[in-house]
Amino acid sequence: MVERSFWQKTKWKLVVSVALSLIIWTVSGLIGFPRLFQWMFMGYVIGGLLFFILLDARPMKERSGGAAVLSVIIFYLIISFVYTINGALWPQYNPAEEKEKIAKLMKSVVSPKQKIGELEAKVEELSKKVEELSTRPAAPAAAPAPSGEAAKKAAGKVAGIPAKAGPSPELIASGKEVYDLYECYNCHKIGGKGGVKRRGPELDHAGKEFTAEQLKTRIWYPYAPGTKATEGFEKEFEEQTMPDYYNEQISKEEMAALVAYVLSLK
Amino acid sequence: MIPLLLIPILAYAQMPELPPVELGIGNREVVWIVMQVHLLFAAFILGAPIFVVICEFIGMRTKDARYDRLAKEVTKVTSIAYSLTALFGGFAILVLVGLYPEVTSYMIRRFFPVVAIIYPLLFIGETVTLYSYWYTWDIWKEKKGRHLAVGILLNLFGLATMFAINAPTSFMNTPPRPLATATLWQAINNYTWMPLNLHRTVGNITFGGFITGLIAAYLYMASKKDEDKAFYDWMGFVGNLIGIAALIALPLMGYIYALEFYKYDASAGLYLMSDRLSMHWEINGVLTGATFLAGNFYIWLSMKRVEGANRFAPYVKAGFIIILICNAIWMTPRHFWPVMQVPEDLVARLELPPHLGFLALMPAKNTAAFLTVLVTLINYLLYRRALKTGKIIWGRIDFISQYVLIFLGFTSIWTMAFMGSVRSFARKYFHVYLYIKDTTPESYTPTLAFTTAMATLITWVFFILVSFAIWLALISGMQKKGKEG
Repeated sequence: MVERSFWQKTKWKLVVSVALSLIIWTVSGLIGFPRLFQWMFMGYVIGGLLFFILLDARPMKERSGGAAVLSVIIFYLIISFVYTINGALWPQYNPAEEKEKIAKLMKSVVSPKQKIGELEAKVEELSKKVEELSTRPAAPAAAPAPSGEAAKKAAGKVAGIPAKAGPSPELIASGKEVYDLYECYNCHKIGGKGGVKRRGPELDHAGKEFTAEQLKTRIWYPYAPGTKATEGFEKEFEEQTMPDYYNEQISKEEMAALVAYVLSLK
Repeated sequence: MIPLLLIPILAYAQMPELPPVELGIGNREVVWIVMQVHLLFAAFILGAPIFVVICEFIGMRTKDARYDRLAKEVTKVTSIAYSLTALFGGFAILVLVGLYPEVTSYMIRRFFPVVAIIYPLLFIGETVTLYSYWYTWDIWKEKKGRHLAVGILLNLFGLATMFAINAPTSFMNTPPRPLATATLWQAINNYTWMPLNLHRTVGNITFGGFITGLIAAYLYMASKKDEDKAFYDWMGFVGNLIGIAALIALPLMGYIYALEFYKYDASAGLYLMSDRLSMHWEINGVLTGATFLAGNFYIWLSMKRVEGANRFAPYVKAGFIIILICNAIWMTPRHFWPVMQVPEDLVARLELPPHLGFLALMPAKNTAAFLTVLVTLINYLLYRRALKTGKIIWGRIDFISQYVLIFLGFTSIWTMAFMGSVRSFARKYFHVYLYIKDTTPESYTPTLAFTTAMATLITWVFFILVSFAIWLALISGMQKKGKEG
């Protein structure tokens, strides 16, 4: 049998690649791949074609001495260029957005200098209190505990949400910001948007299912005694997928806004 | 009594305030380069001795002198690389103390017994055994068992050193919770410590194998005699074989490592795999795919010189098609968008529809990785079968194979430089995840383009130094011999 020449083999590979491209383009389009993904598949076909051409290429001429050194340096430059450019071709995010986010999250961070200042102020305040207490007459009797409407109002204030009037649109909007800031969408979808895998309950109707107190507990202390798994997420609950450190990260004000936002989802 | 509280505050206030040094070229970038170059050398000096002892053992058992020569030549380069590792390690500490004093001081205090006692002792042990191993090579020529024992001891010291220093590294990613009450052992044995140990051990063997392939390619090109060419051709083959053999286990080790991130904190795992670092995995896919393709291409080139091996060509080609398809699956992202949520108006254009979303999940990726590994194994089996019936002539391989070996060496270095930064970025804006926030202006995740440029720069720095070490240890000697001969 006569061995086919390199060009004959290449021509045949080109024909196969074109046919393959047409099939892949048509099938991938029919089953719903977006156009960009289809182009990516075309890229694979081209890459595959080049690789198969290389497989049957003629043996390379040997190099030695200066020519070998030069060829190696050029080869390094080519790989370096390809790898570096490859990184630039993929979608890039704008670090300015993350910087803004970090600035928000850093609000609670205090420098040692600030800490010293705070401690000094506290010492001063405590000294004043000691002075006051040593000169003040006996304290009056404690005020009676609020009851009925007053108690409800007070409870509402603790959660940061006015009990009667309901949360303001501004508070709900801040809650959405908190939801985005802590990337709750990674596991808890709203309106179908979020992580591809079902990691946590969707929050589309959370406002109907939970009270403010329940939500607060579930976010700050997800594994507090008495807390049960949401139906369908028993495994995730058992594996403690929901982070248990938000009590150290999400402030009271942020929590009030977040709860107001989630409660508004009905 | 209250004024007593002021005493420590005043004492603290009397200390001269020295802010971190600002180099003006980016403190993070300086630490990034120095630490990564140190890590690359460390990977080499840990990976190469594992490789070397295996070769020496095979040489002893088979009485094939080539193995002993290979082991000796790699050890010669390793001893030069060892000095450079120590040099960059010292440099790294100075840079860290000057540029990030607070967190460095915290880490040293947190791991004091490890970094101030255990690590230096192990390092001394490794130094003594490495140089003993090298200098007793000829003295104990007839006492191979004894020499091999020193080599095994060297590897034990090397592994223990790596395990020790992996403790603070992994701690920064996954510190035990609650941290305040955590013991030293809990800080060491954190969620990702053992997975990192395993990942780095296997990664270092791969690295050692591919760097050996690189050394072989350099020396093959520099060889004038046929016998030298035959030897370095064979050495390149062995380097590639060990590199690929270890590479087969690497995806599994990486999977275990990533899984521990999810177990520790699902949001950290998501950040690493699906959010701001998701596009970095596309590059990882390119690199892994390229490495497997190149490794198998080398087997193909090796088979081509075996008489009668042509009959296996269609099977190997079919294997390449499978590898290409698997790589395409590996690299198919959930969306072409650098963060988790795609803007609503772009979803249809940039995101996989829900019924195809499974392609972006781990089961699909794992299947692709498994098939790639399987094809690689089958290719080696075919090669072994071809050898049973055909004869191989070393030194007659297609010259392009040397560029394949160089490519594998370069790509493995670049991958380590790149993925090392991904591990670091997984901490987000923390020095110690969730506990010590990075308050410097450079706490954000750099863009993918910037990271790849940094990986290239680091690879070049390492490559120039390693090439120098190879030239110093081997090529200059070879040239001298050539002139004398």
